[in-house]
Amino acid sequence: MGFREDLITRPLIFDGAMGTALQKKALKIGALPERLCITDSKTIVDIHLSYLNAGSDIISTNTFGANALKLGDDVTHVISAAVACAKEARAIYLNQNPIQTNKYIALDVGPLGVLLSPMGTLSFDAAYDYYKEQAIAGENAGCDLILLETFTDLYEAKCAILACKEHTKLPVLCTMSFEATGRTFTGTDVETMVAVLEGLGTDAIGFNCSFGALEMLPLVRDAVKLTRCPIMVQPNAGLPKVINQITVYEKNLDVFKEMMNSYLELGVSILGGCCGTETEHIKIIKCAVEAHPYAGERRRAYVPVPRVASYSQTVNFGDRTIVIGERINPTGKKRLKEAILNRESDYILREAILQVEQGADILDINMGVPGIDEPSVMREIVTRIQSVLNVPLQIDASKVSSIEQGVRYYNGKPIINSVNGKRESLNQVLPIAKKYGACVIGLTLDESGIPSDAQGRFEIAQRIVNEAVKIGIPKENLFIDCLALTASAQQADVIETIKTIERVKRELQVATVLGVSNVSFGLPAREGINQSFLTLTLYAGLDAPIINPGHPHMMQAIAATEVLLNIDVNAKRYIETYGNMPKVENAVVTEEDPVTAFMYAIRNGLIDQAKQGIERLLLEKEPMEIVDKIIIPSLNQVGTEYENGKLFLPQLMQSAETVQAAFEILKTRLLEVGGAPINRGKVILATVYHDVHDIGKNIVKVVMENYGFQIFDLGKNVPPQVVVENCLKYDVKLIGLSALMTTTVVSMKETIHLLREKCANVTIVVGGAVLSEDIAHEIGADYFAKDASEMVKIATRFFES
Amino acid sequence: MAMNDVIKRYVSYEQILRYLHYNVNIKIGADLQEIIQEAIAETFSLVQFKSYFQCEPIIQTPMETWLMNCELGFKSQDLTSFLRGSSEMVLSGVTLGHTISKRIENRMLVKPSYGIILDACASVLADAYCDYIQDSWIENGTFSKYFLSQRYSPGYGDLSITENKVITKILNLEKNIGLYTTEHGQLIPEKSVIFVLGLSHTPFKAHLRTCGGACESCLLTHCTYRRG
Repeated sequence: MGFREDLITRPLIFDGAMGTALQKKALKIGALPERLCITDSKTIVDIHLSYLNAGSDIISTNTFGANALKLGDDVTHVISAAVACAKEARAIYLNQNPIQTNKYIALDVGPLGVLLSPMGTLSFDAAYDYYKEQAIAGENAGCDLILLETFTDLYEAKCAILACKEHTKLPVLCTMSFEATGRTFTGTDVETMVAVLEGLGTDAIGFNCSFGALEMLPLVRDAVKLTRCPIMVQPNAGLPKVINQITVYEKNLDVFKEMMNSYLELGVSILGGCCGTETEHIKIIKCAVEAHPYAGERRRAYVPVPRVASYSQTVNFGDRTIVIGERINPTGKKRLKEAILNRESDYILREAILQVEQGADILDINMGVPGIDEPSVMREIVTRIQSVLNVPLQIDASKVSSIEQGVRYYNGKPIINSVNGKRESLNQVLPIAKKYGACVIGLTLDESGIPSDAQGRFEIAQRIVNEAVKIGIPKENLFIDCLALTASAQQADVIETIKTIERVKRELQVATVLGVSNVSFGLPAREGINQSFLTLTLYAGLDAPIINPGHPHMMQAIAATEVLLNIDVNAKRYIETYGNMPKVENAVVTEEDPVTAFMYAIRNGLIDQAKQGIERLLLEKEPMEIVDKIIIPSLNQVGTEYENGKLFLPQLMQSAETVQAAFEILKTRLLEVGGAPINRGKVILATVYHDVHDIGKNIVKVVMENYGFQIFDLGKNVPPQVVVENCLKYDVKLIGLSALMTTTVVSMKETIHLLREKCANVTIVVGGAVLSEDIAHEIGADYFAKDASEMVKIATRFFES
Repeated sequence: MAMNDVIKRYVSYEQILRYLHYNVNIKIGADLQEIIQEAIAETFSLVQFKSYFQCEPIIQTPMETWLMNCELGFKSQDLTSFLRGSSEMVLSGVTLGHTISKRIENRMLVKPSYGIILDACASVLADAYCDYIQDSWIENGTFSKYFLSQRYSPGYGDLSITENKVITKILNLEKNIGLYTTEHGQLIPEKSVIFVLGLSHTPFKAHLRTCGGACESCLLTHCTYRRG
């Protein structure tokens, strides 16, 4: 019988703390405890043996920090020695106790101590390689399983799990550390942790460290209700206290004992100890397990619920209508298509943020534009959205490689949009959903197209569900899209969509999604058709319409239908949303000269007036004339007032965002009429490598865009070679580099050096708190810009010369 | 009184305006004042105050300060001079968490004028939180037998910002409060502070908060607070 069989047969007992035992032996602060496996192996063997004698079924190797970041190229050596210590202890124990149950060795793996991008600086792939090295070394040395423990970042946990599962055959357990708030430091709650880690095929998930068994209990109570996956706990001995410069843990063995019994009654499968726990704690667990000998999950009642999650928020289907925002899809949207082609990720992020503010619960992300490296763009956008939003994402692509990139690098449990009834699609997409634990939308079409009748579409839905379940995808991860056809072309088939939704809900019992607005294509006054159709589908049982949340009539239709169907009990949400709506007043038609009014709006940061103003100006002027003769002089005036101390930063930025709003209207208009885009010159902006502060660079970007410069914003912490690659790729001759810290001026110098070497005739401007004219000169830059206005002046002179 | 309410008393409106390059000649309309108040309230709603400290006995040479319990120390004449007379040193890390940083990034995309105000509020709040912690040590008698110096952070004077890494390691800040230090000493979450202060049986001479006003020796030539 192996570990996985044991896990479903009986509760298993882990060991207690290694660090506490070593601390007792006066390990110095700063020394690496993992090296003791080589330098003092007897101590390590004795600690393992003491836990086996106390009743542990699983001992964990002394390898918590045995990664290349801490050990350099000594990882395999240290891990081999650590596993050898554990094996030696096990051999001694089995020799002394021949008739025993299995004893397992877990490779202990902790976080790397560096936060992953986008929150931190370490790339997912680099972190993956560190974990891969540890996992392979552990398996080769003879571990029976891998314990990933004390994670506070869900993304890092996902990365580590993938590395272990893709490079070993070992069972993988994963525990995270929570705060008293019920969240980890990076914001993950229990429901989200469970949704994501279970989906990745982790053999057991749970909690360790942070606090004692008593404080951990509420988290465990929540977790056991949310998953069918085995749950494990490794609490500290109690709450930590620092006495005489040493962290000690409150020790209350009676409470510990009571809690272990509670955990077993809740259905916990694996129990052990973390900081401060010793052999006496393991003996207590042993006694508790003897009183509760059956495997934990058998005692648990679990009701599966369709749920998707970001890193910090889980959306459950079924309680209310879930709105999936559809706007990040370039089909039929010239401005978005242009933004994707030009790497204007800020435009895409703004669209994402606005949709959430308008009420989207989930965002559909589609980067399908010809001529781009779609998988890498998908990855980049999915990663960037995570740095500013926490709604779950729906990865929408026809290319399988784009789907996999989006799902792999997403910090959460996404939806895949989509698979369909074609054999090729089923074979390619379902394994991705299974591997990453993603939900997946099944479209009711196959090699023969979309059946016009409900029966045909239902049969395809049934086939998709059966195929998915067959490969191990749980039913709650499947959503069916019954496909809306256009009323203008296939009027008789519209009702078939509604009938299909009813049958899928009733007979297949899976959730449904639907792209609603297709139905009105080709008809006038589309809003009315869309709204009525949406209401009918919701009545039929639609869980999640894919719509534009910026259309108030659609959002109101959802809210109203939920009232009428008694989902929104007492119309609470409806009244909250619509109870105090301000009366829409007619726009004031001003007789004022439109140029004066527009300039006044820019100076005073009046966005709505500026939007109205630009529409009026466009009736009589060309877009470039508006830019050159009105916007730029206005901005210059604002810039001068700022420099002279008559305005301060928020006022400067209010003007900037007013122009930003007007510019969007201009850009859209130019695209509509096929005019040349506004482009006064291409500029790369980047915060240099190792520097993570970019608010100054972002202010410069906003102001420069308002002057009509095309900005390639490479973000923060940008390696020199990435600046060079983009410079060559987009043929940019003016580069702006930012650094806030003295330590990163070195990176700036390296970037300048590489740019001089690889890119001919580039002009480099530097800025940031620690820079000056002298330093700029010293590190080889052409100019120093003290602020955004200065940068605009330099760029204007550069492109005019 | 709840901790948030106490910390609010340490938040300086003037400091926020200073971060935003305000001067007395600028008129701030009621709308903008309301927005700043809204930003202060939002900042409080998004921060997760976390702090951790440890007290270590030190020995000093003319140029260096060493922690007696481990093989780590700081090669900084300025810090050594700042701590002169101390027998122990408190090392501390504080953070406001990730949520506020994400919100600032979010607002910088759709409403940068608000984003920069939120950023200023968060920076001031991080300082206010440090002030609150220092005062609570005094009020609670945490180091009752000692006089406490003001705080000093890596990046001041000749104490390299990369020393943040050393302090993070000693305090195990990643695990204890979720505070990380990058390879070059920058802190993540961004709105975080690492500082040290000295404990002495005799009073300290320096009374000023933050960098002690030693602007002429500071490398931050464009610091908002630089004098002269």
